[in-house]
Amino acid sequence: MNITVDAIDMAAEIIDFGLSTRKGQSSRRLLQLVAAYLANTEGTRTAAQTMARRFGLLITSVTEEGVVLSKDPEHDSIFMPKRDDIVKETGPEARLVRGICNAAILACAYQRQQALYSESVQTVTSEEAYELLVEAAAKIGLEDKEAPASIRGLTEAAKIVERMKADSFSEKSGKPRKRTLRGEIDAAFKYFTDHNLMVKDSEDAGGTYKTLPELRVRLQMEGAQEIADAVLSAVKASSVDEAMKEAMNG
Amino acid sequence: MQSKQTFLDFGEFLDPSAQDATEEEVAIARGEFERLEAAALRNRSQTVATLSTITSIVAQTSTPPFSHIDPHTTGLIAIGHAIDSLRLLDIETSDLTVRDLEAYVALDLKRQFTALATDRIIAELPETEDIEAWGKGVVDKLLCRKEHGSQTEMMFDTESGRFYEFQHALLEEYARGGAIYVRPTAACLTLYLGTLTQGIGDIQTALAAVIQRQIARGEYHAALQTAHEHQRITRQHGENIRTLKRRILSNAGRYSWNSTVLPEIQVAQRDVEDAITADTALEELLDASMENLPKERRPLAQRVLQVIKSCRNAYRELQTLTMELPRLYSSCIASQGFASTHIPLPSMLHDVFTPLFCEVTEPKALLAACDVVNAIFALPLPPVLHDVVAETELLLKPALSAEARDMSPDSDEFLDEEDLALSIFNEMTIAKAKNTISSMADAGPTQLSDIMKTLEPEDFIEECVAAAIMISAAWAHSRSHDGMYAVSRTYGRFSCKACTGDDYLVERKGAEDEYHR
Repeated sequence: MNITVDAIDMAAEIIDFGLSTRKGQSSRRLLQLVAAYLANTEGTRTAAQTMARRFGLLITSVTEEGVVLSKDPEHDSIFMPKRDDIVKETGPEARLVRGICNAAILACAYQRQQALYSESVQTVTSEEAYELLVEAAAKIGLEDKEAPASIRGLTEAAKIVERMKADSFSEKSGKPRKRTLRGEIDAAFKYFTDHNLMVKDSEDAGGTYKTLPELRVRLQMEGAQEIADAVLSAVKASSVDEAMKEAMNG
Repeated sequence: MQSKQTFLDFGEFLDPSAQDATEEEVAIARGEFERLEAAALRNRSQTVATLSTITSIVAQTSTPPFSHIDPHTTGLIAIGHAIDSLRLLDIETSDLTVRDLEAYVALDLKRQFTALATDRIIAELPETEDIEAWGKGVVDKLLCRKEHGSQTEMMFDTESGRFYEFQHALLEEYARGGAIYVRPTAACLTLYLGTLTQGIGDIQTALAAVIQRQIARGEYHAALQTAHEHQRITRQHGENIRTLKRRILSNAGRYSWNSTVLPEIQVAQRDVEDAITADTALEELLDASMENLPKERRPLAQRVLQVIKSCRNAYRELQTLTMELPRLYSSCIASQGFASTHIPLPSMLHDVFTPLFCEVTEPKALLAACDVVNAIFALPLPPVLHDVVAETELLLKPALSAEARDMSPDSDEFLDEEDLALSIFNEMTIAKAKNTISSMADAGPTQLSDIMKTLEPEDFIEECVAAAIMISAAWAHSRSHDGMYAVSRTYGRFSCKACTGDDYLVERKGAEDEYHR
C-alpha cells in the first residue's frame, strides 16, 4: 500500500487528538479524520496504528465522539502516567481506597448492564456513591451476627468503609476533608473530570457528574471485562484462602 | 376466549381461494397472522409505556399548587422545545443544554400558574425558586433520570409468552466535546409527530400534496402551518437516519447487511429522493404563483418558500449522508471485527462492585483487583517538557534599565542560596509573593500549590517562582518562612507554567493545625 504524506499527517493528527488533554468540541476536522481512518484513505489507518504502536499505544476507538488511546500491553510508552499520577498518595491503602471508590462510582453510573451499551449520558452523584458503599458495609455487618458490635468478620473493603465513613468537613471551604470516605470519593471524581472521562454538572447531592463518551468506550472495549476478570480472580483467591484457614483450624 | 376471538378474526381474513389449503398451510398462515397481531400489540404497549412518562410528571402525591399543573401540555411543550432545537441543516447536533430546557419549562409553568391565579384556583403565584425547582423536576422525569423513574419496564410479549426488558425515554442527554446537551429520542419524534402508522416518507409526500393544494387554493396561512409540520418531520427524518448511522458506528457487526442495514438504507434513500422531488416541485409552484399574487400576500408566500427551501437543503445533506452509509458500514465491519468478542459486557454492579465489596476477604487479592480498576483509567498523556534554558533566560532578563547596567550583586559573600536565587527578581515581585503567602497562610493552613493557583491565573508567573524558592528554601534549611510561618513537606507536587516541584504545607506558627487534628 502506498501511504501518502497527507495520510501520515492525518495519522499524527489522530494520535494528537487522542493525547490532547483539552479535547474540546468535536469539530468538522475530527469527522474528516474519522472518515479517513475508517475508510483507511491513502493508508491513514495503517499509518496511525503503526505510529501509535511504536509509541507504545493502541488506538482503541476513533469515532465522531473522539479518539481513545490505551497502552499497548506489550510495549513501554513514554505517554503512560506513573502509578502515583493516578493515586497521588503513596502506599497500598490509598490504592485500595481509590479502587473501591472507583468501583462504587462505576456501579452507580452504569447500574444496569445495558447502560454500557447505551450512548446516553449517565448521571452519578457523590452522595449516591457514598450511600452505596456505606449501605453495602452495613449489610455485611448485619449479616455477621456473631460480631455485631465490631468490624471483625467484615470484608477488607467493608472494613475500610467502616473506618472512613465518619463525616468531617473543612471549616474553610465546607468540603469533605481528605482521608474521609466522602473526601476520597471526591478525589476519585476529580480524576475522572480532570481526564475528560466525566464532567461536573452541579454541586447538588455532594456533586453531580455526567459521563463522557471516552469512559464508556474505554469500558466497552476492554476495561469492563478486564475489571470483572480481576474481581473474579480476587474472589477465587479469597475463597482458597478461607478454605486453607478453615483446614488449618479444623 | 382471547385466542378464540383471534382465530375468528383470522378466519375472516382468509382468502376464499385458499379454502382448499391443507391444514398445515392454514396452521402456518394462522401462525403468521398471530405473529403480526402480537407484534402490533407489542408496538402499542411500547407506545403507551413511552408516553406514560408524561403522565408521571405530576405525581399523585403532589400537593397544591403543583398538583393543578397540566402534565400533558407541560410535557409536550418541553418536548417541542427539544425538537425545535435540532438543527435543520446540520442534523448531527442540537444546541439545547439541560439548563436551557429547565428555564423554558419554568417559563411555561409560570404561565400555567398565572392562569390558575387569575381563575382563583390558587391564592398566589408560587415563588420563582419553587417554579424553577419544578422545571428541573419535569426535565429530570422526561430524561428518565435514575431518581425520577426508570427508563426500563418489564413487559410481557404474547408471542414468546415471556417478559422482556423495554428501555424508553423521550429525551436523552448526549456529550459533544466536553459539554452535555439534550435532544429528543427517535421514539419521541415518532410519537410527538404522530407518524405512528405510516412511514415518514409517506407522511412527507402527503404533506407536500397538502401544501400544493393549499397553495393552489391560495390558503397561504394554512400552507405555512403545513410547511412547518413538514419541517419538523424533516428533523425526524434526520434523526432516524442519524440513529442508523450511530448504530453502525457503535457496533456494525450486530446488524445484518441484507436483513437490516441495506433495507433501511434503501428506504432512507428512496424517502429522501421523494422528499427532494416534492420540495423542488413545491418551490417551482410557489415561484410560478408568486408573480400572480397580490402584493399583500407575497410576504406570506415568501415565508412558505423559505421553509420549503430549508427543508430541501436539509434533504440534500441527508442524501449525502445516506449515500455514504454503505461505505461506512463496510469500513466499520472491517475496523470493528473485534467488538463481538466483548459482548455481553459485565454488570458494573453485580459482576464488579458487589463481589469486590462482599466476597473479597484476602487483602492482597483486593489490592490486585483495585490496581486493575485504577489502571483502566490510566490514560495516555503527553509528557510535560520544561524548556529549562528558555525559562532561565526569561527569569534572568533584566526587567529595569538599572538592572541591565549592573547585573552583578554587590556583595555576593553576604548572600545565601535563597537570597542569590531571589536576587534576579525585583522587589515588587518578591513583595507580592510574600504578601500572597502571608495573606493565605494567615487565613488558615495553605499549600504551596494553592498559592500557585492564586498567582498563576493572574499571570504572576515570576511571583510563583519566587514563592516556590522562598518556601522550599525555608523547608530545606529547617527554618520558618518570614519568621512566622512553619513549612512542612507533603507528598504532593505542585506545578505552574514555569516550574514544578514538591508541595509544602504553610501554616502560621501557633495556629491550630486542622490537618493534623
